[in-house]
Amino acid sequence: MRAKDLTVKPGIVGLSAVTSVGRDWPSTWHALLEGKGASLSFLQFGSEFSLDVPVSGVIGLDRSCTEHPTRGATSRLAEMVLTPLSRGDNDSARLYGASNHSESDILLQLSRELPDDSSLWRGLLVDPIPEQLLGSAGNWCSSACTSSLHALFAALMDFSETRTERDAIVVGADALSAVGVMGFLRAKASTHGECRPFNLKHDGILIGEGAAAIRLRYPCSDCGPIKILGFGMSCDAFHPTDPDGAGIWLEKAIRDAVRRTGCDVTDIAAIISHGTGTPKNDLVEGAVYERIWPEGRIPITSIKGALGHTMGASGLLNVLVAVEASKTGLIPPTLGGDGYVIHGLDLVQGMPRQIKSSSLVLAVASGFGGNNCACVIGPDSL
Amino acid sequence: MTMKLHVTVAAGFGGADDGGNFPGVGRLDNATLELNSHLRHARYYGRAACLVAATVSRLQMGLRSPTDLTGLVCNGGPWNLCTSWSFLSRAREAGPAYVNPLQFPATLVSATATAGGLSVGAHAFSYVVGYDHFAFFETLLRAAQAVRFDFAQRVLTIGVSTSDTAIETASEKAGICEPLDVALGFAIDRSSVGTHFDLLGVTNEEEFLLNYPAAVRYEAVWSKEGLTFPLSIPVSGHDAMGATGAVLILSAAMHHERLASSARGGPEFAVSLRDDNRFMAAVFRLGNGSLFAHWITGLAIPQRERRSLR
Repeated sequence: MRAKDLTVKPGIVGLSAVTSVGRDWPSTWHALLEGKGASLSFLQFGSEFSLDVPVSGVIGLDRSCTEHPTRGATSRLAEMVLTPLSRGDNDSARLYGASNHSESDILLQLSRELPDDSSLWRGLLVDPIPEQLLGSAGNWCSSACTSSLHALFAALMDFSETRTERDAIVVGADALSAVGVMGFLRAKASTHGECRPFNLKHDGILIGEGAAAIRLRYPCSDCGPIKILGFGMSCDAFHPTDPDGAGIWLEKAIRDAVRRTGCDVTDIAAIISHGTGTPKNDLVEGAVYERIWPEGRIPITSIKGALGHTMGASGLLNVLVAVEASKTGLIPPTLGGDGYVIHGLDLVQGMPRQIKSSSLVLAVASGFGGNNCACVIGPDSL
Repeated sequence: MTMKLHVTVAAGFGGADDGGNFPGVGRLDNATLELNSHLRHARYYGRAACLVAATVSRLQMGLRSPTDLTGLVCNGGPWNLCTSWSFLSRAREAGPAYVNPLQFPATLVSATATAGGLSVGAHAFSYVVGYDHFAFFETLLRAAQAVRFDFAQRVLTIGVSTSDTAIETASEKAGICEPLDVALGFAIDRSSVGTHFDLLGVTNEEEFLLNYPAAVRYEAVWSKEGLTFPLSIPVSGHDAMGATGAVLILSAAMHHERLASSARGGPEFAVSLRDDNRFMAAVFRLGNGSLFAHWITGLAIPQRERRSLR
């Protein structure tokens, strides 16, 4: 029995983001091109725990649960990226969402005070993000740091299966969480200084927060030629937190994404990598790129030195960067580089790298549990 | 044309042989459950993750043919709550430097899928979908799509719902009934060896059911008063949360097998769930498997009885 092909490639109607360097997608993209990053101590974000760890947070984000009892910072981030892409109450777009830790703000408040406010407790049992933001027809995915790409893949599979005229909005969001900061710190995976993806001086991730969203439409005559052309997914199924040292499943996801595009790996012009800045991830991921594109034959960048690791939103943010890179031919630089790049990689550093516009760009994400996702973005005419 | 997929079912708890319970519903102490999960550091994963891993193990035993590329999808829910709570409590009592890093992965919503994925070697994917009573139908939808679009040869979908100290407290404070302890696993497969029934389609569009006019329909409705379903289901006073779909489908399959054997119904049956805004349904055809037979023993399944979960 033959498998069905993912032949429907919806057009991209709009992109939206909120990050530590920009309150919308255009400002985030320009900050990335200018090599701007944001890093502050977690102490600046008002946590009850005394954790002097560098994080990349959204300044001014309302982190209280008092005004909206069942909403915390993650809901607000998701709402901020949905608003510019939404058409209000009459919007019939199907919504696909994703996050890692759900509303840890609510948990923090509850476990400290044990109040009787039933709406707060309900917020713990019934995830308020999908319920309030996505509505009853929303689709929700969680797979750690690949969450938003699994949500994107669900949307793409739905487009291919139904083949009817429709819009979809995919959103990924995660806010700074004390649980996350403590967890990464104790797992010795958090940086104490500067996040340096693919650098031999790397010491860990810069924990970040943010949200990203993309609106897709099929069919779309005026959406422009850049589309999501192919995707691949795999799972190491090796360890709850660490990647499989051989990287064979990450390699499979990348090769599958390229194969489904109908192209060869040599057609890919650049990679927006997962690139967390942890030795465990970067050495495995770097080795995979070196195997597929030997001797540094492809420019690679990571946005996590600038924005931090935005957890459930990070995969979709990589897709947004890949869309813009394919359109403009500009690859933003990797922050935190100072020459000690892992051998065999052509890491984009210092200035944006110019590639041919309308090139194929690969976006990659991996996460706890060993999930790997890869997307090829480029002009549909190829 | 829709691709027909094959379904094998297993329960995380014993069925009729273990005291007449509905398969997949029961109560195991945490120590036994952790042992049955075969997970390394099982006690740090949380109860739901251990249930998923134990169900995956049972499901694997029923699958006679190996496959190269397996995926796993679980329904979502507040299953990370207890671990996150204990993580925070430890940080408050002893300081952030003394939290247990082994607990950290289980503070994520996706810890259940991670545990199941590790157990089975799910190299296609392992993730969580859905958060409410429709979640198990969503896992079936994603599983069927993944097989049809060739992202996996087999996908295990696990319906899980459980309670622990934190969920019990939160349920009481929120005025919501406590979740049912249930774990049911369905393997969605291209190969038909040893399977129990065929999955003809899963959808969120009502028109889809028009393609199956011969199917006997088991229609569930979720309203403010709770769940109504034409069959008696073993969840009185509890809420199966994201696993509700799995309980409904297995109840319907068992009932329909009995109907079909007495020549009162055809082989096809549809199970649907709706609320004010949403609809999901799956259509099945009875296969050659006879595993239900021992589960049906000792179970009374009256028709057209309406029962509320709340």
